[in-house]
Amino acid sequence: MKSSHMSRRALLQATGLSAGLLPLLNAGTARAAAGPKRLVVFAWPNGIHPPEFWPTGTETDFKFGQILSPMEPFKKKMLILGGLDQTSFIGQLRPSDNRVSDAGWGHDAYLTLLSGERFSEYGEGEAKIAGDTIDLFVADEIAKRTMLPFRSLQVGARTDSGFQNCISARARTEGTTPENDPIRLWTKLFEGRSLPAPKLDAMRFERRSILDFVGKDLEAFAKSVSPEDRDKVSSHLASVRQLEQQFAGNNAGALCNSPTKSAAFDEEKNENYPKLVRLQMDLMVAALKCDLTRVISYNMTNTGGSDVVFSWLGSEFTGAGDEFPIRSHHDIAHQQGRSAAHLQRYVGVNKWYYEQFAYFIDQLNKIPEGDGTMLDNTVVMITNVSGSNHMAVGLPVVLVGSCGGYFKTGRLLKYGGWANRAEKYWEHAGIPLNQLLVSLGNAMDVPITKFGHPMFPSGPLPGLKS
Amino acid sequence: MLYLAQPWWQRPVFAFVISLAFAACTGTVKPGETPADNAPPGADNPGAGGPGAVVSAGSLSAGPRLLRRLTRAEYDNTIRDLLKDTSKPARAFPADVPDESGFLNPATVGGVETSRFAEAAEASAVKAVAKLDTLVGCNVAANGEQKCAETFIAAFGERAFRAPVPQAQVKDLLGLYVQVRAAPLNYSFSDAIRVLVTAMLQSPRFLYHWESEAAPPKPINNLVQLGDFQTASRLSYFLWQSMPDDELLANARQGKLRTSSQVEAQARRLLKDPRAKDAIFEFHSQWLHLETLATLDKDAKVYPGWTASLAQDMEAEVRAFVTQAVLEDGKLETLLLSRKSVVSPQLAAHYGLPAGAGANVTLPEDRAGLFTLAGFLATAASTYETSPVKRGKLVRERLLCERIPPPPPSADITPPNAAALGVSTREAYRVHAENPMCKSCHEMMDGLGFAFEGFDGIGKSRRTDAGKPVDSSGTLTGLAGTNASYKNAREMLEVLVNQEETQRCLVKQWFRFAAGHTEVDQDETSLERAYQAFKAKQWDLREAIVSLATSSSFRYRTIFTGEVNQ
Repeated sequence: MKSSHMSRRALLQATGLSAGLLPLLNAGTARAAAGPKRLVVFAWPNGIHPPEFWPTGTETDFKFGQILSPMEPFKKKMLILGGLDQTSFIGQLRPSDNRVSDAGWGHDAYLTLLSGERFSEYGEGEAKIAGDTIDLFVADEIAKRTMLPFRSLQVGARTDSGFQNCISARARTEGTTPENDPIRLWTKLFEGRSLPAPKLDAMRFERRSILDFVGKDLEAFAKSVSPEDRDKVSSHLASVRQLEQQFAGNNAGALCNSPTKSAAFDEEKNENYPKLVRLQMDLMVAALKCDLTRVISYNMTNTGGSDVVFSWLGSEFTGAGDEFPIRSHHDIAHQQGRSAAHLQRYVGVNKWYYEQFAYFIDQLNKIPEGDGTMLDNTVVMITNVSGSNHMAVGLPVVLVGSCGGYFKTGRLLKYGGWANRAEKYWEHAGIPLNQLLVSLGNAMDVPITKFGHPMFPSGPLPGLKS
Repeated sequence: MLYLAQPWWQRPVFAFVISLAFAACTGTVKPGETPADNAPPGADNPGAGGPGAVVSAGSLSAGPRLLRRLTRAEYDNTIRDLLKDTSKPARAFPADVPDESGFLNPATVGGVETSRFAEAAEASAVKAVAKLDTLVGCNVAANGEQKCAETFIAAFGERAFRAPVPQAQVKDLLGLYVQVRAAPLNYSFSDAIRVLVTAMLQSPRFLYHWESEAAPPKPINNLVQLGDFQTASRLSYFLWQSMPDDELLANARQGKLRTSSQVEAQARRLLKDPRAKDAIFEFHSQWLHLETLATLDKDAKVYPGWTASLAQDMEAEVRAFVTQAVLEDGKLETLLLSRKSVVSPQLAAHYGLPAGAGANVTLPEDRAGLFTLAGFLATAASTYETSPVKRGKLVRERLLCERIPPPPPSADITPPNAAALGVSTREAYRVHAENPMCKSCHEMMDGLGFAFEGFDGIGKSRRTDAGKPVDSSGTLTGLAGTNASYKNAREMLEVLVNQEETQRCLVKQWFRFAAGHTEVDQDETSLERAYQAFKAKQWDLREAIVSLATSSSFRYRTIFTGEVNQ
């Protein structure tokens, strides 16, 4: 491909980087033999049933319940972290109705999960988070040393915009809308391989030129808006610059085989949800494998309006003809306490999610890299945004992969007041998850000592490192 | 909760930051001062002139102006009017979500939105240059390509940006034109124009309601009047949900949108234009959350008659009904009580009207206005039965402007399936009246919602529920001066239409739609003035709308922190 021979000078001109930055460009590839480090975050809503989620046993010898059972093959590569809370979410005043958030307001606790921050604005049905989320922050840091086509990806399955639907966010925004459309995600990632080189080069040059104008226009525009509105324009500008960068690189799929483009289908349709999730996971694996990006967040549906009906799990999940004709994920979570059958459906939904996560982990684990696999150079943080049902505490946090040997895996760790108990250790309020965010940054070679609101403890989460 | 016992958590400092910021930069002009640059005293003062003005107080006040992006409907309408392109490209954008005001407020732009804007702009520009001569409107043979490109940037840019293109952007756009004509692209004139259109459609001046003036503001007491182009845009997006037309732009160019009467004349003209139907429909759709109507799903076992085409006909009926009620008649009473509607044959059958009734019909006697149209009743329902809670909540919050707190987070809010329980829907909700935890809030909604029990989950009339006669009776609570009892929705609405709460609420909702945010203290003057205009003309909604369009909240803004010193 012609574009892959683009001279370094041309690349620099195209991206507007000065020659002084030249030596830094390839700094990240020093690790190439072992493979780059990667951060992936998966989140799903409506909580878990603790007794079927939390393992029993000791730090190194523990048994999975139903929910984690699909992860059995990867036990040695996992860290299960009990006793972490979304502490930064709790105790915030909502001026419009003069109420103060408590741990039960799980539907509002999406942006606090990866930011460890407070809201900068909070109302009924709207909120903005005070700081960046860890994934975007780490992606910015990586971009300072390594040029990648995509700084980060935000992917969502049947999600909308807004603070109850996004897990990634820039400071003082209501969240970064994830890409829901797998066809557009493919186009974004792999279009480069489907066009003849001259046509692709022209298209990229044209788009860069246009985005350059748009970026300058946004900079001027920012000066005419009020200070309160400048964050909106900055977020817009940042995404325009990133899109521009995407058309500057030469490496979209150049170094590895791109997956086949799927035929169009209705990704919003309930029955297509399993297909959508599988396809999005395949694209994420391919993007990581091709080193198109090193940071991904995946939000597996809206927190409040999680209207997925798990019809493919059996007729008892659609509830035809009985007390509740429709059982959305959200309904199932709320109804869990009604009977053993209701509870089993709740457990079944969460187990299904873990079957999907296991599929993704398995793909990463099958790709050899250095002495191990791609999974070993990656950390995949998997968590529900809530603990039990809608509680923003007792989060079921799982890390998979050691992130290049940073984490000592194969362990069950407990934090908080009841950490020394064998039973029901998840029931006691734990500690702020901010230190975990610091650990994720450090694992990705970002030397931070604090993340999120300054009120919370500094340093990485104790006991995680190898 | 454990954390609440600790003093730090109770400090609500963070959430206040924004409201304090606003409070610090709002302003009011006292009587006798003239904030307008050049308007004759009196004529400019919305309190003193204009046929709709009743309030005699001469003070002007307005809140801050927030930056808003075009909604998907506004984007599509603008593309339609700018490029004669009716393809509605914004349907591929992430859906806009309502903010606290209940009206849509597009999300902050991130990567997905940016990609969608680029994609839509590219597709629209390709179509636009297919008719290059019409688009450019410049004799290339006589003037030369470069000259025509310059003319195009200024003329098309003024329409796309709804304001003259600032000098810096003219220069940059011309630079872009020159760049793509040169190597390596060596584009033709047509391709270069396509690039310019693609670029301008991604400009913030196209994508946002750009309401800051090019010239430095000259505020009086922190209040500044919007510029002519900004006023033109405000008017057209409020009353058309689209860009200004040539006449509005010409008036803006000539500085003829400064006084209350100039703005009023334009507002009345806009309301008579067919494009006003878009705004009237959009208001009612957002007001009562009817956005999902055309794609609504219903349980096929319970409602085998439900089809996508029936849903679309219901949406078309809502559009026709509100056009008739608000634009042609205007009276609040017509909106809330009229039985005159426009229906398709299958929708006529749905209402139980005889075959061959025609399109213009009088609905059966149990119907009364917008809240009893099948479209509203089907949207405000669950997939398998009615929803007294949703219906009652919409009446209480959207028609009466009272707030109902959200349910306790751990409450099981799954609606009961009355049919499976073998009881009527009303009986299935009895727990709300018996459990004190539920009662305090649900007594504000359920009663109002039960009034609609004579209509099922897809808006069909029904006499019985679970084999027993429907009970849609109730007593109004929480309203000033009435505790009237009613037998059904019609009787309830006949009382509500004359309640001051309803009349004031309609003004407030139209204000929120116009302003794009919830009212603040500085907007009280404009709200009171619009209410008085509404009242003086026997509750003609058009008078309230025109009054809001000429109000100080609409035409002025408080300056923002540090603006004057720039």
